[in-house]
Amino acid sequence: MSTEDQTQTSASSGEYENEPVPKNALKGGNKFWGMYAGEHAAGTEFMIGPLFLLNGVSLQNIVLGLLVGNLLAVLSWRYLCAPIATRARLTLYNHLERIAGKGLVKIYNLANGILFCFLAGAMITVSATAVGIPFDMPMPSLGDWLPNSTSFVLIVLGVGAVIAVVASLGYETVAKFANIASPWMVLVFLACGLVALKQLGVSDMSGLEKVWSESILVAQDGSAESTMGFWSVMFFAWFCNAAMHVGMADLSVFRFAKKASYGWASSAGMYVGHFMAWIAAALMLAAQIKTTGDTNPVPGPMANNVVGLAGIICVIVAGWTTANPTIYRAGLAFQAMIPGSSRFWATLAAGIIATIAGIFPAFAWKLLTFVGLYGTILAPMGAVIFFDWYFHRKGDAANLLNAAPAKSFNLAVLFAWLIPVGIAVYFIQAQGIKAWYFPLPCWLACGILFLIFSGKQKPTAAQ
Amino acid sequence: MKTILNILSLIGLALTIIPSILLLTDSLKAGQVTLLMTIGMVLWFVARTLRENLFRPTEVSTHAVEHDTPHTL
Repeated sequence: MSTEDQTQTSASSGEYENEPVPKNALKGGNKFWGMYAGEHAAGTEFMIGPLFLLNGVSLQNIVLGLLVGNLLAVLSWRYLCAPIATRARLTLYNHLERIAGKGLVKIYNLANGILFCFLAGAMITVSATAVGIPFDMPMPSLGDWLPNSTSFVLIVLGVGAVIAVVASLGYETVAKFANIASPWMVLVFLACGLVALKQLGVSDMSGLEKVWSESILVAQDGSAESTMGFWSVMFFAWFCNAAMHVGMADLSVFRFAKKASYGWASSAGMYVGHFMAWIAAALMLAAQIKTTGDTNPVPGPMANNVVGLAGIICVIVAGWTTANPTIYRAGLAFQAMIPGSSRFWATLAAGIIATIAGIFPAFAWKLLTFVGLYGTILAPMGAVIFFDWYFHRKGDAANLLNAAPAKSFNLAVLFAWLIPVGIAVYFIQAQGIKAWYFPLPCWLACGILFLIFSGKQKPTAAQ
Repeated sequence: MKTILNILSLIGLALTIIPSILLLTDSLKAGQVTLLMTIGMVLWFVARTLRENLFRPTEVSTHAVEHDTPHTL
């Protein structure tokens, strides 16, 4: 298909993947508030909150860290991502192609796809813990990095197969279902937190702090050692969505916004999903520890313990509606790598990789580290867009849209991306430094290196 | 019909959240909360799905299918 044909197709489908979104396709603010509120109450929230508790985060640090970190995330969306999106009005990939070239974007896309497969794998594990309840499946425990039973493997394979096939057949139906489910899921998270509070038997903040500390003591076999303080929680909250805000993936969302101020809509996602839902999920684990003594942060039984069937269904739906778009997107990334390949088979391959990853509970238990790594690897590309926009294009969309096409593989971008990310991955893997500290330095280093490396190859206007 | 489905779906949402608040005030028991939440869930999904299928025109949304990177966290 020629570029012109692609442009016509994307415009006629209303997606505008290869051109700026026109004024008549812009959307009102309500869409963005609803979308962010719904999409950030996902399957991952069931894992993240409890993992904070197991890492010994104090109640004060979790509340303050999330308040500040989420505020910084909202400000990143509002002042870094949305202003560029509402002026250039391009998708991340189209924007990046104009700077880095198609070849390099494919590499970035592949990195995205591979990371998505492992994220989807963790969500398949989450769903399987709920599906396994009626089958008396032995739940994996925090020490299990490998599958702990045959029934767990079979249930993960079953859940993964359904998710992979549904994703391969298309996206529309699941997207519609996810839209229907999201308001309900948000309320189930809230209800879980309230019921957990009741089970904890607390009536004031001091009582809650006491129960919280006791839960940490039980979870850590009496050591009460905190491996995450205020700064860890703050940086994690700020950068768990680093790929979307400073990483500029949400250019694809805000290109439809009438004004950059719609970036404030991200606060709905942060304070509903990444504040209320995380704390509610952490309270669920605290309640489970108090009522059963079980310290395993397994979402299915935790939700069942507080609100019964609605909780189990919520875990399944949250895991499924998170894994599905993730596998779909990974499939598109794989398809882009092999010209002429079928989307069905590419998506199915992504689903199979995700399912195999789901068999290993380690991906779910290590979700905090994985999410930090995900931001560290992907977010720096957003710095290339940001620094290019303000230093090379002078904040003028015409300078981007009318520029000559980038080379297929812009080495300045490649090295600006790989050098800081490579150093960060070394420190994370070899030195054991927490992954969520790295997206910010990597982002800044990538932007500065890009300016240095590309100093002599500034974009030229198209002839 | 549309109004009825809207009301039913709102009742479904109400049954999802209100029982947990009543539990906190000791006005309901835990077993009643799980039962009411299950009823709320069924009501919400049935009413909302019917409403979407019967009355909502197909439109282009800004949801994940259009995102380069779906929101998964």
